[in-house]
Amino acid sequence: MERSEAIHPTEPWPGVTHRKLGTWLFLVTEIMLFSGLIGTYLAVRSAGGLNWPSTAEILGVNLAAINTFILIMSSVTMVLSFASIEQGKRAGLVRNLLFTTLLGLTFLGIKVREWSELLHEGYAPNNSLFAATYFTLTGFHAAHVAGGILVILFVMTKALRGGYSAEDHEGVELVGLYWHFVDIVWIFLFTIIYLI
Amino acid sequence: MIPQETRRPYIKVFILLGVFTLIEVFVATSPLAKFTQVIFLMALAVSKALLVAMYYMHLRYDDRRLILIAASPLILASALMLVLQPLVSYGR
Repeated sequence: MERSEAIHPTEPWPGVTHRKLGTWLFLVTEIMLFSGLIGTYLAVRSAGGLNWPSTAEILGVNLAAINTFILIMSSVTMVLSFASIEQGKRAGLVRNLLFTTLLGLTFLGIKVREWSELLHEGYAPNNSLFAATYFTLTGFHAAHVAGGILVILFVMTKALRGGYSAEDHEGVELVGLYWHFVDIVWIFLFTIIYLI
Repeated sequence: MIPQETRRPYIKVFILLGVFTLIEVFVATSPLAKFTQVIFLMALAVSKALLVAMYYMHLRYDDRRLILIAASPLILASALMLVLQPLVSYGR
């Protein structure tokens, strides 16, 4: 079905609903949140100079790289869930939402393992500026991942009850936007914290 | 509604993202000068972010004004980074 070029009461611009615009504006605020966190991390780390511990040496890069790949895969399954319901395929929607949830939980599980390892090495937020910034950055991100998983579970429940169709599935797209944003944040965190 | 043919790039983009991630790890563990590593790594990170934003978040197919909205905090974020720079010299 082609979208009409006329602006509907629920669309500030053709093809963009108020809900979609609102979601993007929310993501803008989230970008500013993480910009503040990352900017402060970079400033503190620069001030630390050569004394700043290397995350790669303490935790290793391989596990973080695998975790990055897992989150990227979850983005793929998320967008495939949207593509499925676009064609009215409810089974594909539910299946890919389930995969997204499982991949997100796997990401969090690996993250918890890394935190445990860091604490075991003696790096805690109360005795190390490096640990304080690491736990703050990754903690905020993990909280966003956890929140996203809860919303995806809500969407999946609604999908199981037949709440979405090829004509009405904006909720899937909007939760997808949030999930992809969380992936983008991790792309930068992985680079800045582990690789640089 | 997004055209059917745009579904195909999803897997190609996924493969690209995976390859870029592998290249990132290779660059980070290579004997390149630190400055060169940082340039390569940030370029790869930005490329990956753009791929996700344009194809998975559908900015490539949506109204151009959404791209402006999505890009606007990048200007603010850059200004924020500049403002935080005095912290660097304060700590030394």
